[in-house]
Amino acid sequence: MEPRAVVIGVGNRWRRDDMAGIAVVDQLRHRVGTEVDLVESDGEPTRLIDAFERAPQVIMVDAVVTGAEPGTVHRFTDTQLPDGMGIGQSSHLVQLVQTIQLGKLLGKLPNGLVLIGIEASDFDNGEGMTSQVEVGVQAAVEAVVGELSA
Amino acid sequence: MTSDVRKIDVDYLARVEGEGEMHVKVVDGKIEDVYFGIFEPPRFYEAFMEGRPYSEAPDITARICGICPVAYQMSSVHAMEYAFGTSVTGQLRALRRLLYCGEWIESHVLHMFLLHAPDFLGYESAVHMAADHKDVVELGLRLKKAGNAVVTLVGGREIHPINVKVGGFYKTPTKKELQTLVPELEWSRDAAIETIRLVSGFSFPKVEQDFEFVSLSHPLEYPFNEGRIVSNKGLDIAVSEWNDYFLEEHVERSNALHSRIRKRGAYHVGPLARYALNFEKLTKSAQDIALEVGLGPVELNPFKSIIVRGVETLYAIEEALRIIDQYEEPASPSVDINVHAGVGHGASEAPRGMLYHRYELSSNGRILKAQIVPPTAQNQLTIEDDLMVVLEDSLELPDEELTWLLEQSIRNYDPCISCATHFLKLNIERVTTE
Repeated sequence: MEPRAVVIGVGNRWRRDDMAGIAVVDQLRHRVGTEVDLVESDGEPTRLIDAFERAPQVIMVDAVVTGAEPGTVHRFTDTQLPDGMGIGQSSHLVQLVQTIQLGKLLGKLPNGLVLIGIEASDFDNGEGMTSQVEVGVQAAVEAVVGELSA
Repeated sequence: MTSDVRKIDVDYLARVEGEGEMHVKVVDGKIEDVYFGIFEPPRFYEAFMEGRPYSEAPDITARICGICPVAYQMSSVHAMEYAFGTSVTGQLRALRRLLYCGEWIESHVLHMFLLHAPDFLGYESAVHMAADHKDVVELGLRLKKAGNAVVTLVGGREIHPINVKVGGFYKTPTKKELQTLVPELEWSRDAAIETIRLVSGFSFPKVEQDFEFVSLSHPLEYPFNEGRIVSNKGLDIAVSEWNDYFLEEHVERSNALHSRIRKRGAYHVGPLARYALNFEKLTKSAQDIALEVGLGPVELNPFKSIIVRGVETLYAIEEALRIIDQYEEPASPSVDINVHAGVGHGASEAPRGMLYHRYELSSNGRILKAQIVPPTAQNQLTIEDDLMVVLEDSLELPDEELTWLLEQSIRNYDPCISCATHFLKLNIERVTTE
């Protein structure tokens, strides 16, 4: 069966809060069936573009920095992201927003995508997220489940 | 007295894998200071590994860079095998080369198409470039995917490959599995030639440097995992002698260590160095196309590194096809390890240049001390030298164009500063005092 949705968690497991997106995907493994493809990404653009093509519905989850309280969960659509989003708001911003733009330009995102962002604060080397971000991850899991059933 | 102080500060470099910064200070038309800085995570990983078993080194060090995890795995396993007096030969050795081929294809193609080509074609980013050159970007994406497929199959996973261990692999592929890679690699061979022709048509700033090129050199093959460390200025040493001939120094304003050759100074690792020191080990077709597009057997213009990356991509594809063709499934996926106390040294050729690891091990194989010298730290002084030369030639340019050219000079080295978090903040400041 072809998956109907792909959820891509972006981050680095060894840069503390930066792993938030991947933590969401880890938890979704117990919540969704084979109709949802789960992908872990380190933000490398060409593999991300490949992942866009895996299913009609694309949801991306990443740590973001917008100035909100750590743990806050944001929702952006692809049309809300580029240009207007500005600099320094996603931990993989340079590649991430550009990769989304590139994916759209190349026709790989015919239905657009939704980005679930988790406000993060600690990007130090090491494992383990801050407690607020761990709470945010739980909320983000529910947000993704909501997107999938919408 | 009137003093005109011009400062160019780029705190976070775009299209560099990870984080980097550049500061330039020009006082009254004279260059006073040039600084290229990196934040260097190997220091964290060196400390993190102390007390851990030798067998964890490949997986831990692979985390340092998302773009070249194979290089970190290879340098670490070779260092451990050196310490334990083991060597991996035959088809297991060939599989390691194949895995490295995949990483070179991935890394070089990513850099050429998405990070460096926009500089030469005058686009702010790959996105801007794709709007006008969709076919070029699509060529790059497909070529990159061929490299991804090799790393995924041999490395066992799409990102952060996990199949490499001290002594060999956890699991080796079947001949049939490897053969599934062939059709796309055959397409990639032609695509690489097309790429070399494309990038050699770019226009290149006329900069030549009298580099001391350093790379591994092996009598029979273009270097990936093995060889002596040689240079075009007479260096010819065993990998285990690295610390006798090279020096890592702390430099103010940076947590990174700068490397230099003792009593000599800056040196250059990476594609230009490997190419200059190993030209005759390239496949015939890679040599032919290099000469056809105007490269000499030695290339001293750092901006032309993009062409050499193309040539190395072609080599990696042809080498991958050769290894797959000659592959026979090994009897065992790894060789036995006899753990004992010792010191291990390993060097391999990451896409960006030589990567050196050294480990001190206890009698039960615990890591007592680790030293990791990534290629970008080795190139740091050379990058600053290049910035100086480019600046001297181009001081009349307005800040924006000058910054572009300086960033492009840094990108010649495809500096891999870790798979870090990616913030971007550019800040150019011009100060005039009277």
